[in-house]
Amino acid sequence: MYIVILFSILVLVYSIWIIASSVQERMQGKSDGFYFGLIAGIIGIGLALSSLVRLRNRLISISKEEGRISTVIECPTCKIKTIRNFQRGDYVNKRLEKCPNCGEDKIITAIYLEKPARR
Amino acid sequence: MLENIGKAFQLPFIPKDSTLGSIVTLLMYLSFILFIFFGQKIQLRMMLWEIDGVLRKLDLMRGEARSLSLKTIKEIGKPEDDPEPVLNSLLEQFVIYPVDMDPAGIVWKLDHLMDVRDSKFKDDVRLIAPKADDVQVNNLENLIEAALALNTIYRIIRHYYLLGKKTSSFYIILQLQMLLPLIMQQAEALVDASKAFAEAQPIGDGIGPYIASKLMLGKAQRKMEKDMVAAEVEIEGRRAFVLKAEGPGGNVGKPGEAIRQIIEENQGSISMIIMIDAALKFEGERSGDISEGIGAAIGGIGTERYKIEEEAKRFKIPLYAVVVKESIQEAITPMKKEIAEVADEAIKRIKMLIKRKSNEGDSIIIAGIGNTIGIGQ
Repeated sequence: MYIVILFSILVLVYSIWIIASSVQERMQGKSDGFYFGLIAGIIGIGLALSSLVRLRNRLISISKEEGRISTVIECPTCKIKTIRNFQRGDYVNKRLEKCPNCGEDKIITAIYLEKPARR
Repeated sequence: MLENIGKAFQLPFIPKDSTLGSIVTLLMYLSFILFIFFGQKIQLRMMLWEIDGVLRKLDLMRGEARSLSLKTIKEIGKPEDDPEPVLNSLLEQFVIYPVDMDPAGIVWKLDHLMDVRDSKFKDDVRLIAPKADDVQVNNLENLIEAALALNTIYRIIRHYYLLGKKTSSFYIILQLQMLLPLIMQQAEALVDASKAFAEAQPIGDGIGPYIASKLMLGKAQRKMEKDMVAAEVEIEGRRAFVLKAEGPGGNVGKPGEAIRQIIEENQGSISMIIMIDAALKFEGERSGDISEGIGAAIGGIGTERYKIEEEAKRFKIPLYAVVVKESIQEAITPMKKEIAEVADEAIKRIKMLIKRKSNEGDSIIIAGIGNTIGIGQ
């Protein structure tokens, strides 16, 4: 990853330098190779930027893939729902402690992976 | 003309009359000629390079799944001896499929082989995890199966990589390189699956048993053949036999056997069979979409589907399928919220189907198909 970043930055800097030099030479009256330098520089900038943007998106997508496993606990009578992090030993339909309101056993009604919403 | 070509290859801002300029131009010519004569060889090297990288990644992944298996076995099973040798032999286990030159009766042969395999696998897991209860043995079995699948993928890819390298076969390497993204997707899903199995979390494939568990919650249940549970539930004035694999351990059971048992117990007077399962979605489709269809919705090698179809045909029982769409990765990784949340909608669809296709007082079968890991009843 660091090699890709380094290489892309090098290409970016070199491309900017090509464009700057082409413009400078043209201002000095040397128009030979101006368009070639300009086009090569633009292509270089485009490639370097696209590589960096792709890398950034990939890193974002990897970090967003990490979600959390939630356990939904419900009281069958009061229908009061609470959600907490999954704990080892949890399973759907497992009976838990009694509901403080009605005294009925609370039940795990769902266990799922929650992923943060994409921007 | 050569001068113009030379100009085109001339790197910008290196004076073309300088020694450096001449060297760069010469290098450009050389690389051009090299690509003409050795282009395919260079491409082959680049592809081998890419496959080599993937192979290293796959090696890490299988190592990760293997270490997780070992760690979980030691944590849960508390073995007195070192479980590593048995685990290693489990990771190399294989099944020789029956001869299919004369296909008559192959289903029963295959069924028998699978029974033997399952029972041997379970016995081996019990051997290395003596303190594990039945639920934990099932979970460990699933975990080792995921590690086994990763090990098999690695071995196959390494085989074709080395074969392609040895024979310098462009086409072997090309096919392998083209398949790499799909193989990696599957391998990454298997790594996630092994984590889910180690923690006993419900997976996407469990949506069928999850829906069935919602229907049978609080009702009297009985164990059935093999590793299945059934409950009699009244739905829309019909007597519904709701089936699922016995949870919360990782288990798919044998729904074919259980359905046959219920049909025989009712002398064939079952007006419909509804099977609920996770189904593979096409790219572009939304995960968690529900679809209805006809036929036995059950995956696997086909033995259970055969049994269900045979019984349905014998008693002319209509077979209906309600499926929840998901990708292959979603099916083996922890169940996503958007999939779990469609369970109530699926139940509504099942009720509508029952109302439309059966009469009050009828007996029906509803089977939740899939791996029931993390889902009790």
